[in-house]
Amino acid sequence: MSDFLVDATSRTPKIELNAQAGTLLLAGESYPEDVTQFYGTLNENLDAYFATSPTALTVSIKLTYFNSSSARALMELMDRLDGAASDGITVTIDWYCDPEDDITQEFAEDIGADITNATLTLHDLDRDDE
Amino acid sequence: MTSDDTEQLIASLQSKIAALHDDEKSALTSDLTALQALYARKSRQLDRLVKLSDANEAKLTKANNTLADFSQNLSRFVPKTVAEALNQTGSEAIAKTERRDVTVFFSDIVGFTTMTERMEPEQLASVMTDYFTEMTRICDKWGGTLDQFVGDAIIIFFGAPDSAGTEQDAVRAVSMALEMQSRLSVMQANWDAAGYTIPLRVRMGLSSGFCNVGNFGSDRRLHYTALGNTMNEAARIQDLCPPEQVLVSDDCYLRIRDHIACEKADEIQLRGRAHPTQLYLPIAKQDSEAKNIILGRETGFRLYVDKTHIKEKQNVITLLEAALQLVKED
Repeated sequence: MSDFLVDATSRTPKIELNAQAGTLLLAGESYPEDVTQFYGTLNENLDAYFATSPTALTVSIKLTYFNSSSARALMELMDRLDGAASDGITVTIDWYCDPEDDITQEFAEDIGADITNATLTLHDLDRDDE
Repeated sequence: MTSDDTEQLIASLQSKIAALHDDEKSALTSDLTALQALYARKSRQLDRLVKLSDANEAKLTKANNTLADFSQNLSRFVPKTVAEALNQTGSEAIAKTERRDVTVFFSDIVGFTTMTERMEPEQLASVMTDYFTEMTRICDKWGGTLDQFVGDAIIIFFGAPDSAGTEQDAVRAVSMALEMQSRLSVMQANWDAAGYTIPLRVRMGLSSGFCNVGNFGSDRRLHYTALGNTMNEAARIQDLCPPEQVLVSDDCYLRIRDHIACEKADEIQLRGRAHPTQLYLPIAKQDSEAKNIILGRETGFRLYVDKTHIKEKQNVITLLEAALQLVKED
């Protein structure tokens, strides 16, 4: 399958799903006007990627801000990734948080507690990562 | 449904399952356990979302407060009317320049150079801060766009970025000037009491007509101002104005004459005009506010009565009677 690439806007993050490398990146701020449409497209592409029977996927999340609707979409994304891991794909999730943003860190930690098949690791977000 | 209700429902289901045959019991117990786990997970997700929503709200409040502080500071450095227009319509709306019919106000302190030479710097700073603060307050009250302070001079215009109609813009501009002179007579009494012996006397000139208004300058630094002959005329008329008075051009007079009483003053020859221009001295506003105000000024005499602001009426009557008796004495 071809890569799925979306440029960042002031309201939506950059998305890079690189099928060849087996990587997914979400970076920027997330408060889309139509959150269902925005993350729905990502989910469709992820499903298409998983349908190619990959062995592994490394996910990097570098979101500096996301609203509640995006948070819900992210939880659904985590469920989808965890489901893929339960099907035998090695899914590694690296979640980068601003070290001064306790709420986002706590949110990512809570999500990690619900993930049973994929591996989620928290990292400090450097300014260069943004 | 509360969490207590949920627990009761689960307990009820568990007791019903317990009464079933073993084969049915096993399948339903498994489903119920899975349902409980899913419910617990959804509850956790809901808690997370609520927590995140609260945190985002707190961030938004903080950002709003920062923005409010910034706006307040901004309005101290750019005209209030321009800051409001920026806030409401964005920078593009006032970035353009356009031909507008405005009324321009110029003021200048008589003998300011002498004042600066004879007053202590601290005294001068105190007087000038009081002066500019009060004049700015009155400008804002009447909706003027404070173009700039140039040394001791103040330049204000009415009619851009917002206009109440050319006639009302002129009426507001002249009303503002009259109130400034009224207020200055009171402030002068305070400065006298504070021992500042040099009088602060101000000339004020106004003219109405077309100017090119907007943001002028470079793309890095812009200044919202008006350019045109009306500005030059207002400056020239202010030069000719007697101290502690307000002088307006004939164009301005035509706009205010139904609202503000005026006396004819001198005729002058303004650049670019074929005929001499008649100037006028506005006296007082012919409205309910003016009826409550009495102003008077002679050598050794200064009177300012604003009935709407008197709190201790008897004290005022006593003062006026004492003053009257003193003046009548030989």
